[in-house]
Amino acid sequence: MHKFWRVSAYEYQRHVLRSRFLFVLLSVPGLILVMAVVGLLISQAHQSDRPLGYVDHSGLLASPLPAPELDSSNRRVPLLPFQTEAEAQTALQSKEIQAYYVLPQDYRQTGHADLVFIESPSSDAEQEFADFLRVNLMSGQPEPVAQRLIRGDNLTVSTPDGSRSMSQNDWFNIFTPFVTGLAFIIAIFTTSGYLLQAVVEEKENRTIEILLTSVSFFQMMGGKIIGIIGVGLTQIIVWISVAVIGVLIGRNYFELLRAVHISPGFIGLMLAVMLPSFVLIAALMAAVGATVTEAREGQQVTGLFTLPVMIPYWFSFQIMSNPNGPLAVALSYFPLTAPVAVTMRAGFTYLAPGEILLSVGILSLSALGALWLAGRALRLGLLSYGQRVNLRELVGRSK
Amino acid sequence: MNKTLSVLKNEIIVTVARRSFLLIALGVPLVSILGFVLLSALNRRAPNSVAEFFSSVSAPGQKAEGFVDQSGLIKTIPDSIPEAAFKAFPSRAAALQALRVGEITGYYLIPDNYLETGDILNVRPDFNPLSAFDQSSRIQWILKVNLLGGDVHLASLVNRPLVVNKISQAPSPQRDQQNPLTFFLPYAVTLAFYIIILMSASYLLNSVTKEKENRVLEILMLSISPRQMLVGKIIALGLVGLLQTVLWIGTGYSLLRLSGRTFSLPQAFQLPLSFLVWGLVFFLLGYAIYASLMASLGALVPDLREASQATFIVILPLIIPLMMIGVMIEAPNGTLALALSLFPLTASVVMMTRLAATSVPLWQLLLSAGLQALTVLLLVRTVAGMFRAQVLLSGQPFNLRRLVNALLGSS
Repeated sequence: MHKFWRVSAYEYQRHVLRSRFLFVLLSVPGLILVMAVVGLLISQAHQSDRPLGYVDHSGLLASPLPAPELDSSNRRVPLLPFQTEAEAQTALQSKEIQAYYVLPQDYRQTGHADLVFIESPSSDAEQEFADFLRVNLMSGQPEPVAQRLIRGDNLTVSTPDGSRSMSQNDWFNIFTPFVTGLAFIIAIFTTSGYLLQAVVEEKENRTIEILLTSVSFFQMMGGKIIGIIGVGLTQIIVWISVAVIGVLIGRNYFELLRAVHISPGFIGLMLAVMLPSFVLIAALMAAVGATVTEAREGQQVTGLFTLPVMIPYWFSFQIMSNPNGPLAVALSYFPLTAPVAVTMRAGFTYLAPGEILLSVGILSLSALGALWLAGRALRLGLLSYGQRVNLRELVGRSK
Repeated sequence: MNKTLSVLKNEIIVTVARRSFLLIALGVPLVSILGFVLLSALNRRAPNSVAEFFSSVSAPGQKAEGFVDQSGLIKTIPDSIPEAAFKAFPSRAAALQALRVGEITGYYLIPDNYLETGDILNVRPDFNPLSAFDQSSRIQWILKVNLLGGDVHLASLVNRPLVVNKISQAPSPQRDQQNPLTFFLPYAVTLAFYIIILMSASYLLNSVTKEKENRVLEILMLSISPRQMLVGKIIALGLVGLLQTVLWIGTGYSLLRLSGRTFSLPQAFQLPLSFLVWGLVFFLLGYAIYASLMASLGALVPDLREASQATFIVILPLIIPLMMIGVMIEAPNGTLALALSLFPLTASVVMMTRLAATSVPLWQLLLSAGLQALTVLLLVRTVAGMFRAQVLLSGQPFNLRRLVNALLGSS
């Protein structure tokens, strides 16, 4: 057992105590920060504050109430009335306004209107004009009713026992399973590659033969896998801590972030599915590393394992809107797709404990199977140098 | 010239005959064809079973939803809502009981202070926020009509104050900003381009690193010039990349045709034939630029492990446009998009985004292609110069400074 830990400690230190690891570690949060800042700057610069014109033939806007003040950070676009379409057209041509609406005489009956533009106006501007109309349509209504209809409802969804609830204002939380799933995938991508290389490299330079005179196959493979998983977990823990700190600081500035909350149950579930799947993928990578002859070949084959992990993202729309549908359920029982599928479903529906247990059970069993396969691949791959171990040899009976 | 050709021939044969290439180039289309055949067979046996499997809507419940109105606002249910769809309950307990026995799928609680707060509570056992937000539009509609004293016409006007007829005075057909294709078409084109260029360019990195590792490169350098070798390799692997792309796109296209769906994109979204031509031009140029850069990496890094990490530095200029793609699709002729589509390292991908999103003036296309071609020439020259013994054999670890120095010829 001592040797087992020694291999894993070596493997862990080899990657973590490198300046390059620090670079990978910091580059992800750094990149996200840069993206956020650039996005914010660009969206600020992009908003046009040229006024929006309107020509009203219906009489609704003869003495208009102003558009409602909504608590949003979007810049207001001034609304300019014109008497005739010709005037509005001149203003549009001379780029005084970004577009103009024409409300026909029968607007109140039909709701139809024309929007004339050269370049499509921003959706914020269109939204603002719609709000402006809304206020004026309700000008005869009592104040509380008009206020309610302008401000809209706040829907909260809850399970009957109240154990889970989410308000429409907390929609931001919908992204939690996505973000954690993504962090998991990035960690898998970066760390499993290490494992593959670790095995292939030592095989290529024949160190592994010498090593195996003093440690067993299991100690060697198991130690490496545990060490690499430690590297991956270090990454995830650092990223999540950075995210938590970011959210805590951001709360003071952005209302959106105040609604973010993650339940301990969700964290527990994440750990329960992600740990075995980490072992599973790492072991599969190690098995590939042991069977191929060159690192390059191995890299191409690993795509076959990492691609399925992302499948739930391709179907995220189906999983989100129908989290108990056959596709979502199937994906949460297939070992490679389970980690992302289960976390995604957990965000959008109530998962029975039995379902979670079954999924984690399948994952753990497959992880054990993959470990066995990896050990076997290493032994066979070692004996048949310079040639690939094929699948039949790998799973067949040893001679 | 003769030697370039033999490099080219050898490179194509070696790459194409590799088992992993066959697996990816043929395997991906093969798997999709198999999947397609399987799905259509399943569909024939039990129509709609496939659609149901992938359905994004939970099975339409015939059962009603309940509501508990503590605010006393709901007096009528508008005609547009089927009578059986909603059941009123006097209290939460009664609604909960009905939910337990399966009489209703869920219920809404409208509290007595609804008018002040706007709060509505939706209790449902499956806790699915997304479909809850979607389905709640019916109860919100009922509330709206009742708030306006039962005036359905006014309520529908308040709900949707504008049915807009858009009149564009722009010279070319404008795309509807609301249409998801406006975003997804350029996005898909950009992503596909990005993948194809990187995939083909990384073949070159592999090929150079491998020959460097097993020291074949040194022997090769005895009989051919670095430039001959580099040009041969770049052209050969570009052709391989093109072959792979054609295989994939061809399969995708024929599967689409087979499934009976023809491309019926709205007119503003149809990509002209010239798009294909420019696509080929910008693929070749973008590929040549990144392939030469990858080759320079291959010459500098000591082994493949370092190489895959150093790749990140080289492909960074390609990642930046991907990060800003939203802006470029929204303003495809804006300053940012124009600048990035002229800068040689980002031009190939960004120009394709712009071409898919709008019509680009010819002079910009020509200028961009010209600048890229110039970059290719310069890069091939410089990179060929890097295939010298002191660079190849140094075994020093790779870093950005070494790459820049080597490219400037001052290492």
